[in-house]
Amino acid sequence: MEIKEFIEKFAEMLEIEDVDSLTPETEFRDLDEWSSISVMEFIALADDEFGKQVGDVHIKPCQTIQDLYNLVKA
Amino acid sequence: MAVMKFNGIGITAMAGAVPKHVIENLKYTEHFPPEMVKEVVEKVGIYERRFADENTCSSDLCFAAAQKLIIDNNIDRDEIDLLVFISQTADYRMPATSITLQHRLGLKNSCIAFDVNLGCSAFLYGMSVVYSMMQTGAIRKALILDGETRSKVYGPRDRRSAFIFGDAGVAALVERNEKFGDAYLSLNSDGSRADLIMIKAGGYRHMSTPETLKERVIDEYGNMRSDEQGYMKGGDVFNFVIREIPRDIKNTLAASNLTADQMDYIVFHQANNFINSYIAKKMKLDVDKIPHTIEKYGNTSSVSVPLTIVSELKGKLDGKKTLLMSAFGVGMTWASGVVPFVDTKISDIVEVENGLPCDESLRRDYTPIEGASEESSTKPQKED
Repeated sequence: MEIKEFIEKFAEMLEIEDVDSLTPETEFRDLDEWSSISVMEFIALADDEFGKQVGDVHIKPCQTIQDLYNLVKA
Repeated sequence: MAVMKFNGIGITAMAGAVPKHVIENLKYTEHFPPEMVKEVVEKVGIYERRFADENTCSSDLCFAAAQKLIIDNNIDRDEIDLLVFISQTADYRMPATSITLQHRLGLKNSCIAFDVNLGCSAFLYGMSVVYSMMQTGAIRKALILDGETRSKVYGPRDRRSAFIFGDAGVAALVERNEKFGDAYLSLNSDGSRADLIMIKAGGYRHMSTPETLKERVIDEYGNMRSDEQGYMKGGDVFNFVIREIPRDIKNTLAASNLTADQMDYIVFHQANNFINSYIAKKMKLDVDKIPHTIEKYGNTSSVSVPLTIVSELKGKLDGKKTLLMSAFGVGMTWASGVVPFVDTKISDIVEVENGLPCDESLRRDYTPIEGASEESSTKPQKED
């Protein structure tokens, strides 16, 4: 999966309609839609779409959407 | 370890009790803005919970449930040879709450009574202990009493746990009968994850001090709690659950030579709706077979599996039904079961207020636990 497709999935997860407002450099914690629940939704996305198991411990150091992509792509 | 197999033992009757006080989660907005509350509540799927008042303990909820079970089914108290009380919210640091319940319920002194302290998967652990002891043939009837008052454990200013937990108690009567056939239980533990869900202070490693009681800000979101209150690393718990639970369910089903399609009902620990829906989807389970109570009782820890059976399967356990049970949580521990239920009698859920069953016919006089003299007044009482 390329990062463009990842961003689309990420936007869908957070119910962000304007996908173009997101870039790999976007700091996801600054998004209004990002909440403590989003962490669980992202863990589900990583498992479902990438077969990758991640937890708080892996997400904590991430800042940007690119960081999250690198995490599931690794 | 191999999955444990038991034969000719089963749960013949169940009853449940909840506090009378209902918390409407969408209105639980004292510490957080309503929009944020709405978002969390809808994601976790918890709309109502029950909170025990200051005079109601897990033991009071279990007492009410046990009284309902004993009276509805006309059980002879002298035939109860074993009482196991499951909880992490006991009345006292000592003695064990099961012993005080032996007295309150008017059970004989030769009744075996002890506590199991474990957490969310504990009902299946309790079953394994009781079924094992029943297998000796020496025990006629056993009571599993499972109660939790998690509302007293988690603080209202930590949004990661403030909207999740509720209180309840359940009583289950276990008896021997060939009609049950085989039951399978798988139990697991991983202490390397002990810090994922924890109440750090108040035990003997970090004893209570004025410092441990102070609420302080604990993260970048401004959540607050004291070290005497529980915390949960939700993401790591979820990650653990999606890896371990499907695997353990598959192993347990394989041991029983049955498939998920052959189960009549699938009862999960009611963690939150997001986790439960995800596991069901991931394992491609038939959601029509998965009863749930998360929306009205929240996460009641170890009580959630039996409470969901009492609440949702009343009138549906006629004849032989096979249930898949799965529970997971603090420890971490996790457990799965393929368990036959045959004509299990289920009572209506009763309410408790001020430590007493609201239905006065369920109350019972007993010499108070505290203040009893060292001499004669602590002797168990017989029924009137």
